[in-house]
Amino acid sequence: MPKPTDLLQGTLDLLILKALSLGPMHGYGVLLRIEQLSREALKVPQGSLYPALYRLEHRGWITSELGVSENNRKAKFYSLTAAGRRQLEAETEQWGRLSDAVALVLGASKVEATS
Amino acid sequence: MIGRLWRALATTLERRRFEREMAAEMADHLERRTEHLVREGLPRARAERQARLEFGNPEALKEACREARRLDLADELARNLRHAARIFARAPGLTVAVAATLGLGIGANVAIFSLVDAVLWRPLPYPDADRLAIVETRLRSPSGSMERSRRHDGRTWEILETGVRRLDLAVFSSWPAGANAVAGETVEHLRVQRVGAGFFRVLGTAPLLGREFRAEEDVPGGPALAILSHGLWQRRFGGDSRILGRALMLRGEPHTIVGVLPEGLRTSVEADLWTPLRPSTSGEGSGSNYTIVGRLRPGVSWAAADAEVGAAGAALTATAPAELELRLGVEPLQRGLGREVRGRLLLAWSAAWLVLAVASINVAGLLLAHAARRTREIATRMALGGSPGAILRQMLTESLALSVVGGATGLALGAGLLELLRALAFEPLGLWQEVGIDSRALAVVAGSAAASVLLSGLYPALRASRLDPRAARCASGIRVAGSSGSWRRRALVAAQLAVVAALLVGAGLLARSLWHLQGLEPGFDAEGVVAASASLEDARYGTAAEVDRLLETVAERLRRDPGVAAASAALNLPYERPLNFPFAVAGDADSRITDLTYVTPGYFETLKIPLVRGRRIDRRDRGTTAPVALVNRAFMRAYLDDRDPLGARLRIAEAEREIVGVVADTPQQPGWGDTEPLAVRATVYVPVAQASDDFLRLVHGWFQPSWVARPAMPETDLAGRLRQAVAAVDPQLPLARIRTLEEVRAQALARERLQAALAAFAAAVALLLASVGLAGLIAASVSERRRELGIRLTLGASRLWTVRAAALPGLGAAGAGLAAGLPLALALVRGLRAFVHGVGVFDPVTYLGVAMALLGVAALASLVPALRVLRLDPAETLRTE
Repeated sequence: MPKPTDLLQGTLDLLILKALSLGPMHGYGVLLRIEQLSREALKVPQGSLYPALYRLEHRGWITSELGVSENNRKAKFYSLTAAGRRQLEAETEQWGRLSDAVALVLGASKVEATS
Repeated sequence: MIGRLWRALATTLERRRFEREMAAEMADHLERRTEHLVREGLPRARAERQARLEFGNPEALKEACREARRLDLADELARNLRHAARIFARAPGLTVAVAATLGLGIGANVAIFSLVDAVLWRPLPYPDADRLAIVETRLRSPSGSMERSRRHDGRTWEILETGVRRLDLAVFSSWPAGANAVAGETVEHLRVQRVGAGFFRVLGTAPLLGREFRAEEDVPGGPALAILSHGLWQRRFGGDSRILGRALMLRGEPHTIVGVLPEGLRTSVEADLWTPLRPSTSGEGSGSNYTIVGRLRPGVSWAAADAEVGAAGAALTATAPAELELRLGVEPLQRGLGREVRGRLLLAWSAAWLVLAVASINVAGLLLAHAARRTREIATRMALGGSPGAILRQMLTESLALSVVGGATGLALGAGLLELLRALAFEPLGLWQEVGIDSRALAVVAGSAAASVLLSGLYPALRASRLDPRAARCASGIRVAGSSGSWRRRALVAAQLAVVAALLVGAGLLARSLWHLQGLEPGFDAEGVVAASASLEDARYGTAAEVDRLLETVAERLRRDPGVAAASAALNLPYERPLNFPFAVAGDADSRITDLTYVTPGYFETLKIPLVRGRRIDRRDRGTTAPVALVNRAFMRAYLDDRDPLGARLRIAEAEREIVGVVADTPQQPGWGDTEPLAVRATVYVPVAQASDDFLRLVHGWFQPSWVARPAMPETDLAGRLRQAVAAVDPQLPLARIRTLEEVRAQALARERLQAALAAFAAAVALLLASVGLAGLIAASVSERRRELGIRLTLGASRLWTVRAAALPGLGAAGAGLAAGLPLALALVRGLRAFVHGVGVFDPVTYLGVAMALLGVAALASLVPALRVLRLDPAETLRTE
């Protein structure tokens, strides 16, 4: 398995938003979901998760409330807000453009560089 | 952003819950991880350990989470503040200019606000102050307006005291007095107020020690008692708790101390001690020397109280003609006290707001110029990724920092200004409470500082944040002629000058009005003249003969004194409020009204009122000889068509009198239907010896005659001699008041002086601010146009021409400001009509003067910075950028 790539803070935010867009979840669940969706390629360092969640909540993109998890345990569940949904769309688009640009550069041949 | 602020606040407040939830969440996470690992086959103990290792240091994590909640806002604020501090350190001129400008505007505002607040709005410092009432006499003057008088005589008090149940009434003397007090070896002059029994009970205050005066003590001939103020008790008696029963020598008589008041209590004057009023219906009580206040009893409405007082006072007012609508009534104390000065104070406060507006516009201009100079810095920051919102927030933070500085300066200046006002102006206002900078004033300071800076900073901030970085970088430095933003600054300065023009017009009109009033030809020589008045509404002075004897004998005694140059007596003095009386010119059926006063022989000589025609009143005019009268020039003009009055006959005061002389005019306070505080009015003088008994009894119910004396040498203690002379002739007759004529005049004009001073101050501050703004504008313009001006100089323009070109925008702005300001002034000046005397509100001299002053100051403010052009080296400006 390739080494899990390091994640920039902004990218982590994007992934968390996406994970929550699929349904409300508690912190550990978000971690698992990202792992699953990336087919184990992305392992979120546990030390970054909660600060990121708190920060996203502070900016109003996700919200939390106490709920009951599947095995009847009390836990804090996070969900996406309307503003968060909009932010997700915007950042997804930005990410797409960025990765296209990077791909262009990386795919350039020597000829293109000098013309 | 509001959401974030809110959440940060919520986190701080609900700290414990936040911590609990966070801890629970972490614990929950660890459990799930452990479960996960156990499911994958690890033994529980190892799973737990691994989960904890993966998690990392929980404390560090918690700290990171805490920061995530507060991080954005607080960190950004701290960064912005540090940046702001750096910016202002590099531009000390700006900081000082803004601080000074705002300081002046806010300072003026807070000082005047404190004054207005204390008089009109702040509740009086007594319990349930809205149940306190003051008794007044209302009458409708010939001009149709309602006049109110708050001074009453002893008979009114007697009637109300017995007849009114719905109010708890108390009486006190309208005139504070000073007295010399001896305690031990020290003699001190103290402020004394005389109050009736129950006065402090009505106010709602109980003495700290002892008691107040009882009804049975507060009678003529009662015991000599005193109640001390807290300050006096501490100062003179060291707070001695055994003070009650000790004696204090006051006016040569020992007064027993029966009570001490709590700290901070003050009444309508700042008194050191209180003595019993001893209200009576004779002597002082026969004149209008008492003020009556009361407290509504529980459950009584204002309408009911007013009705009862009116009914109880009906006996007094029944004899008056019906068209006067004379009646007694009650009004809430604070409203009644503020009524007279309300208009003036609100006017002053409006002026202060205008000054603040001018100051804010100045600050806006300064910040705009400052932001223009920082285009480069802002453009760079935006290129590096700063959002417009971040730039906006930063500039607003800078504005906030400035507002704090400006507010602090304003507070300091305001406190100083308040002290100045206190020295100049508090007397005429008759304040019942302390005026100082309290929490309400602080709120005003904070509010106005924040509002003015934020408003003035908002526009530059918005402009800065909408900057197009590329355009800004390219455009800077290559501007050759003018700049797009400067017209806005010029418009701002023009707006300021318009406001200044309006303020100057107002101040100019008030100043001219005061000048007119003070310059009113006194018509006599007031230097050193002292007047002592006494009330003659007394059974012993019911006939003209007795009155004449008293007045003449005292005057004679005074004349024999070598320290007295001349003495006599009269019913009304110049600058006082005169008696209005009906008269008819012999042969005319019409009855008209004039001022009337009686005098003793030698009056005109005592006051040195010039004689214009004929002769003065002298000893020849007795009750047995032909009735005579003197008139003044105003009377001649008004009623005799300027014909030769000598020999004309008037029916006045129950006799047909021959006019034997004409004297010069002297100003009087208004009677009914007048609005001018002082004016020359038609007056008739008659000898007291030729007045009828009925006439004297009538007028002595309203007025107290005065003796006047002129000193032979400046150091003569006329007051003492007057007292002695009166006491020698009639020891039972107390003197109501002793004043110099200068004091009488000053009192008559006190309010006008206050108003003119306030207006002049506001206008001067505004003018200063506007000039500074204008100078700044020209300075900035010269800076911007260095290249253009340098080129012109190279091309051969004379230095003079260049200076003029540099200064011209300033004059243009001034012209525009004047053009806008004069119509503004014309519109606003209607409100001043009631306060301006002797000149019309559209007086062309004032407007012309204002225009010239404004243009002159603007020219100066434009020229000084424009002179920098002379230092321009043309070659250098072409080379540099």
